[in-house]
Amino acid sequence: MLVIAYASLIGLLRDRGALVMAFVLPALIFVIFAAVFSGTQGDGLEIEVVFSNATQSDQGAAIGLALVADAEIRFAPGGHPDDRLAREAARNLVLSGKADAAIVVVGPVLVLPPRQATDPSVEVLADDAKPIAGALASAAAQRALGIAVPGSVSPPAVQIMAAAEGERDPAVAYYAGAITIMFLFFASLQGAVGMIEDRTSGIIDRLMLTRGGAGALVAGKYLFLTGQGVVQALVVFVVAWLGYEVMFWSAIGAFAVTTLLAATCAAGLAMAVVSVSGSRAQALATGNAIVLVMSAVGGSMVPRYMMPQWLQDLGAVTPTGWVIDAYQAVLFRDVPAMQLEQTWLWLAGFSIATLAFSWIATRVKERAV
Amino acid sequence: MRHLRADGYAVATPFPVLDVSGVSYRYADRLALNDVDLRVMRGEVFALLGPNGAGKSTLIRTLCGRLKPSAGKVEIDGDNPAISRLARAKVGLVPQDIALYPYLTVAENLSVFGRLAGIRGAKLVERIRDAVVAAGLEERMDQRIEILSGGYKRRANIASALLHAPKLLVLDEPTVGVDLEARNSINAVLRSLAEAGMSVLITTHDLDQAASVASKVGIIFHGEIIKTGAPEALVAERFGNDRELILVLNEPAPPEVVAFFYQHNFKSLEEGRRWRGRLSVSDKDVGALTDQLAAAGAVVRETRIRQPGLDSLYADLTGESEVA
Repeated sequence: MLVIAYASLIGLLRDRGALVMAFVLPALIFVIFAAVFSGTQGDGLEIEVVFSNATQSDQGAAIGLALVADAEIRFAPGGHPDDRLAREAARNLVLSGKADAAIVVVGPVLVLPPRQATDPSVEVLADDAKPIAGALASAAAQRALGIAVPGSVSPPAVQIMAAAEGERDPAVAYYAGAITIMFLFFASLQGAVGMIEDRTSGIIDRLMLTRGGAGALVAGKYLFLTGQGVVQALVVFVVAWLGYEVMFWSAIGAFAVTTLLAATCAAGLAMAVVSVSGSRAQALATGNAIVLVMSAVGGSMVPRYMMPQWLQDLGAVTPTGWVIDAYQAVLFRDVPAMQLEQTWLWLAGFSIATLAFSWIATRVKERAV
Repeated sequence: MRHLRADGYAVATPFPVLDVSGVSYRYADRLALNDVDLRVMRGEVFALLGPNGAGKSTLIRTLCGRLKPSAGKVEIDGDNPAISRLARAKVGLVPQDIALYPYLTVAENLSVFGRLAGIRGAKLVERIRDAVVAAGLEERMDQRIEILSGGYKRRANIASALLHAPKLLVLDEPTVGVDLEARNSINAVLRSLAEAGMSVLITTHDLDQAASVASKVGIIFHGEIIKTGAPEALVAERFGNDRELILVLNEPAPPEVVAFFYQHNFKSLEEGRRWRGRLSVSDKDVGALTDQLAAAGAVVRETRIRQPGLDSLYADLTGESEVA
């Protein structure tokens, strides 16, 4: 019994992939989640708001000044009280995802006895995809009201409203994209490891004698994984449409481009990992570690806005982050396709770079055996 | 190839399909091939024998164009496979493992590899049919590779290398892990391919297979071809009329018996218990020999006398009892 345990221990110590999966990855994922959730429960969660004094009153200006003085509030670019935004402009900034919430002064702030009903003085237009942001902005507005107009603070004075109109469920739309890209990566990795069997069985040796050479294998696998990814994404979004009314086909062009690029990204990354791995176990361990960390940081598990700023910045430069942002823009924010160009370019660049890398690595490896 | 005789008439000379001439290949830290010469003629089955690390795999990679020789030249039907795609297309490679897609049927695999070789349409159908007939797979066309027996998997592995009608078929250990019946059937396939004019180069562990199927063998050792020729001729050249004597002792030989064996040119086969030597004298002398051994303290449990074969030659040249 002890001998078996000893042999297993030696095996583990000599398997770097297993060591990473067993000890490094859990700790890393824990650190990421700890950073995320400690931020949501303490003072570390920062949101970006925009302010609109729609009444153009002195009271509204005073509320704006109180917000400026609030250390827990950051203003999104173009949303500072000095920018004198109209309500609709403030709302549009929230809808486009450039701000987490808009604080809009819509009426006079009255000093009334407690529990006396009145129209709200301040509206908080919240991004439906970021429910916590609405609550935090509302709390900030209440504080500002208390400072700007002492004695005015009663719950009806501030009302949280959805910035978007209609019945779309932003959380479902968000997670449709977030889950899709995570499983695209996992499925592509699983599909790509077949290349290692092709190498060990001699299929690549055989292909090296043919006209296409190893390039045919890389190109064929890439095509297959991309097709598989597109179908996989479609399945998720059809379920989201049937069950939760996520109308992905309402912007079918942008959706198709985003899905295709998400699939090519996943295929490219999986093949790049496999092309430099010596064994199936090594490829899966390396690939799973990369996908898990990228999913955690990029927002597949927890929305990025809930993360501390340094993690948000990190997540914003991951393919997971790009794909989620693109799906959000297409499915929820009605962002015109032209404005997605930059995200699509990042995705396309990543796809091309990983494909080129895997092609070169496969060629070098097969030539140098 | 034609050359002019002294009287001015052009005559055809045998043209090697594979011509390896003075080939050396150096890895960073060691010389894997050293001045290797090897020719395989049309319709010839050439068996390459050698222990692990002798250079067999490096030689195969070189003639498949995967490695460029440090010195010398490799030509497949006159073209250099390291730079010519045409030359590589003349080689059919049968790797040691089953280089097929296990979830596809035999026919589907052949179709995939045929297409990858650039064959399409009616020609592909015809080539698949020919390869299936050549490998004796007619009854297994629609079966998945994963459910075939080891022997049929090997045949399918061979069939996949025949689709583009190569001039040279290279097989790396084609009978490893198969039973006797399957081995015989694979040998039959190789013989019929050679009879049809294909040149065949095999590396094999199986000396019996090499002896039965190869018209020529080459023994490679430490990167050098140390012997080449027809198996029977090589054995006759090495052993003449000598026979091979194998003595099995009850216990490992004591030092004085070991000294006796070495003095009589015997070689140890198994921890000093099995010894092989050459016998050029009469059977009666075997009795005298065993008496001498008994007097030296060794008890002979078994005595075997036989005609030397390819395995004897191999063991004699390499000092190894079997091909690794």
